[in-house]
Amino acid sequence: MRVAWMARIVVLILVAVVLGIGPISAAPSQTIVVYSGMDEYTMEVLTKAFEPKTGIKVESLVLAAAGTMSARVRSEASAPKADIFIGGSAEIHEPLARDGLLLAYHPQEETSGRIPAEYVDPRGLWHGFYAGPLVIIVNRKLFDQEIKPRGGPYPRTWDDLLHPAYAGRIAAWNPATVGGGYIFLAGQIFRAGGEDKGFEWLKRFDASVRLYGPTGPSTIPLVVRGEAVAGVAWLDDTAEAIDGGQPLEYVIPPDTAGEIGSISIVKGGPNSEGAKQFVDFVLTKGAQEVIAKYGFKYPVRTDVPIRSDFPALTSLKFVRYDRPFALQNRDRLVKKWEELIGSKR
Amino acid sequence: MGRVDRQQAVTYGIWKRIAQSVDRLGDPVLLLGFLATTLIIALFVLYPVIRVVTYPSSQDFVGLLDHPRWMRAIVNSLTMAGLSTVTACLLGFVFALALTRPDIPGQGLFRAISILPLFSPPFTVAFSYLLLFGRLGLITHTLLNLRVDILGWRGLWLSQTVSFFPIATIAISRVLENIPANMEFAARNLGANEVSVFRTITMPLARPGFAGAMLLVALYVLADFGNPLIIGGDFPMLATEAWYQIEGWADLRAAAMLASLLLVPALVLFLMERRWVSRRQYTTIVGRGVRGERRATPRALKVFLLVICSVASLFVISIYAGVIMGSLTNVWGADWHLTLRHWTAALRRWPHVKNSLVVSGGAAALAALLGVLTAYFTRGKALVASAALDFGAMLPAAIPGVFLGIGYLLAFNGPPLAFSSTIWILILALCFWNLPFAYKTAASGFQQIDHMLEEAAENLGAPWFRVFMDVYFPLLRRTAGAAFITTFVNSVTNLSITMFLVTARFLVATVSILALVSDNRLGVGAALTTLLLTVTFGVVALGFRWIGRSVLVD
Repeated sequence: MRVAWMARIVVLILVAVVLGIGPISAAPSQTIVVYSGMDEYTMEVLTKAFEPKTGIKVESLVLAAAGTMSARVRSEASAPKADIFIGGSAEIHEPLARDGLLLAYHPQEETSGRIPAEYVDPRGLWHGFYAGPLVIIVNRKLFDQEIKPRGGPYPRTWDDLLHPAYAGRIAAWNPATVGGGYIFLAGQIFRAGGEDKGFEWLKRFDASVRLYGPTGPSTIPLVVRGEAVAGVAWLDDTAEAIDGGQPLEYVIPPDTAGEIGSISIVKGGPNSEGAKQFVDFVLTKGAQEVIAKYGFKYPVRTDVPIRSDFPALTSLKFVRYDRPFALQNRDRLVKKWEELIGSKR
Repeated sequence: MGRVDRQQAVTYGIWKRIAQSVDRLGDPVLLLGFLATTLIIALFVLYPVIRVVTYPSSQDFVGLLDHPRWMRAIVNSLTMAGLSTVTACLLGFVFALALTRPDIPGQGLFRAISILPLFSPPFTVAFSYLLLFGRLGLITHTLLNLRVDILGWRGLWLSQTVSFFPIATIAISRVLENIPANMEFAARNLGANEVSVFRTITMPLARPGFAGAMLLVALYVLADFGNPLIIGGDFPMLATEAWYQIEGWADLRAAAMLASLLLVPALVLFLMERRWVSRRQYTTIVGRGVRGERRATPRALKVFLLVICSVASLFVISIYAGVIMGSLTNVWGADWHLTLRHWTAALRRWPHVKNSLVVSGGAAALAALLGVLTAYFTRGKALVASAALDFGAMLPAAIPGVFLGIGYLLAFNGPPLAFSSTIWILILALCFWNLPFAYKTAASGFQQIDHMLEEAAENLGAPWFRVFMDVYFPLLRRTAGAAFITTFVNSVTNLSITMFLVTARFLVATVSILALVSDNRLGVGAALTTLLLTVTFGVVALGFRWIGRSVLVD
């Protein structure tokens, strides 16, 4: 009896060993490893287009959580395992760039004049490859039930959300934990034309907020499930949710802030040459079309059409977003928000 | 004068204990085994912890204290650990009582229910809970037309209680099972009534198990991040804050700091457990084949157990029904048409499920073996060195998964041991993360075994390996089996560690589910969860059939 028991353990361990070692020895020769904070479907389509074109196999680890992927690049700094880090705003790539974890590269497309300068990092450490605005998302059914009877306006501007009918009914982001939450905070400061005025607005907005969601994807399900009537979200996530049948509406308010979706090459990765080809590929017309169509994003190339259900990028009014200021003052502004608003709740 | 005497006595005591240790470890093979186990635990537990704790600078720790949000997180974490642990252990105790009394009907169902929550990846079940009981939840809104608010600490309390009571049930019922009925029988013969039998026999004998369960549950609650993430709303807690700092800002240093703060209460809990539980030895398996009939459960207790277990079971079942329904519903809450499209998408991810099984099977086998071995080396309280080993084996319980994941990446990404791109990093991280449970399970089992058995074997000339194999292992088959099953299930459902250690080639199912949930593809996520649940449950059902047979008979 006890012999059988030991035998079973030994067999189990052996099975684990064999299965564990087996696939390692069968690694293909030309491969790049991609850490992706993009959605899985877009990544799949991009991979299928890239592989036959270059003969390079793409092994991607897709987690729609750019911060996690970035932390992983950082923790592997002593012996990088990834070649490419794709997805997430430039805010997430910049700290990696500052700490020397990224490889400088200047793709030809960036100097072709087809990509506006705001999406190009002059040092070549990160490369903007899509754009996206912050939007207001609305649960129409709840709006009709709870806001309309109380005289609240349909939210067309950020200021509409200050109406008392919205008190405690908005899902926002916590700037201390969500990158987008900080872009929202900084955007309101730039919109108000000063830090004090900006915080004044944020304090009034706070009365409308039911919850500062702690993660990026948290606001959409909150609004869809009716935990909040309206909320703050990224356009691409919202459009994708609507495409998937979620009952959701959105408005791109004037003077909104935006993200610069970025891709970067990890310094010292196993296949930096392959990585350069991938960056080139992502900026090609074909790849940009895929990103626009299936990724629900605005392409950075001016010669690529946007989705027919999106307003033209030029018709959107973005707030004058001072990215260097926002990056430099992050710790201070988040702490101020904590003191004035976050800790009062 | 008196003080000197006492000091001398203390010194003498220490020397005596060291001498005893040396004596006990005199067998060179035993000594070697002890050293090897200690070395392994130091390398795979202490080393990653040290790497993470030393990652932030001391200034980071000082600066942390004027972040009001993080100060609140400390208070909240401690409060929830207190609340959820008490309720989870009480519920676990009720289940354990019901499961160990032969005359309670519906035991098969209750046994299944009492382990079911362990099977669930953190995201989806908390999500199902929200889908069913949220503001537009199927049950609360659509069926009962209630407006309830479950986001926040109350909802968190409930979901943590449901998530972690199975751990208490397993730990407590194992101890209750080992309480010989003849002791209770003897007490009754001597005129004790049911209450005093419970108070003077059952309870004191169950206390090591109960306290051990409290310790483990408290540590799980402290490190829990799946539930607070979904249910907690914006209720800051240390484990989730650590995670948010990575997720939102890629700030490893702040995350390492916050996670390091969690070690403090965890260590306090750990020391409390040692003072309260470990001092007393309870020996009930004496190898003399004593048996007695267990008397019928009093009616009032029977009704009480049945009611509590039924209500809890209903709740757990509804959670899982929610997941299954979610996998078959076109768009939850909007379009209730049935569809199989989520299932076809989920089945394409079968390789991820397979990876989960391989990784978890390996981790569980290693953890069970290592747990039993470690428990064997630490069981004698006279061993001074065993305290260090015991500490090392329990330490992972104090480490949040997110933290251990980063620790393994930092520690094993470069020389001397670089295996971070292989499947082994997953297997080893999960094995050592689960070591406390495997070890605690084994140690509780050892506490029930009389030293006389070992001494008898030694007197007959058996070397330590024979003693271990012939005396302990057969008696511990159930214990080791339980350790294997729990580790396996813990590993299959783990997300906090795997999401840092998965490589592009070895994606596991939970990480795949997280990607789906983040993508708002809830239907596919629910289908993949159901698939993972079914497969895991099949594996565990086989395991239970295997360890369920009586041990002492053969």
